[in-house]
Amino acid sequence: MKAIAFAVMIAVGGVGVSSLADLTQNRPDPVVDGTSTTIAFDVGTRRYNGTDLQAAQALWAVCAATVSGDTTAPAAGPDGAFTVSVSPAIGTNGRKRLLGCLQDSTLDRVQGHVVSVASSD
Amino acid sequence: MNARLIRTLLGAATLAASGAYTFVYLYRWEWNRALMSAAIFIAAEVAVMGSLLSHRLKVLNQRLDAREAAPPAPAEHTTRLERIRTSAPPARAPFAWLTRPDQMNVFVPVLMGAGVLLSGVAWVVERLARATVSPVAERGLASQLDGLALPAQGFATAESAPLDLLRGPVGRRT
Repeated sequence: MKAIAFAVMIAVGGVGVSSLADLTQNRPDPVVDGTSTTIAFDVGTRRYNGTDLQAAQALWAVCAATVSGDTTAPAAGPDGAFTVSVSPAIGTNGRKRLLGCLQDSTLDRVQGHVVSVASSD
Repeated sequence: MNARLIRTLLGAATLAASGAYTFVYLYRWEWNRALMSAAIFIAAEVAVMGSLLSHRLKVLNQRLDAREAAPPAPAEHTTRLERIRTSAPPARAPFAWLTRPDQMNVFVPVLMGAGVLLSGVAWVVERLARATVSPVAERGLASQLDGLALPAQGFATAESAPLDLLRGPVGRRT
């Protein structure tokens, strides 16, 4: 009985570690020229020494480094969200890295929230 | 619900939630949140382990207190214990002859005789080695140092030749 439990534990542990490694592994995404990705995000600040636009610019300056390609500066939209674009379009792994950076506690007193991500051909 | 149950449930829930969210944040590439969640998991683990160890120590303490406060053993128990002790086989004594001091006169001469014999063998070996060894190492070293010996006639000569300056000290040897 103990041997069976041990074997099951080893199997579950192995599958779990392998799955987690697969999910968190960084891989290059295929690059398609002429495409772009537009990301809209808003920022929430608490006692931040600056405006929301400055917070968005600071956050984007940090997180733009997680993807490759040309990026634009955050532009404020009518709904309070900030829009940036990356060309060529980012893939699944790049999207995961970028959203993780924007929504993580990357900057003190600034919290990002991604509203939408859209890729165009 | 007693406090211990609440504490256990709270600890288990914290452990499960923080452990699960560590992996969720890792999957989402939110490293700062994953680190914070892992720190909470470790803190909860330490708290749960401390609680468990404290409970175990309390149980042991209560058991010792109960044993000290227990009444003395009844007469039947004492009689039974005495019977077991009297019927037990005698303890084995290895090297039994050493336990009797009157037989030490055997042991000491044997030890002294062995010491004398070993000293004699060592003396013979030492003499044999001194008689047969030769200074091979020193001879080898002397032959290797032959190349460093100074020239017999010295480095400088009385006669000067035009090429002496180019030959250097070795060239002027002749």
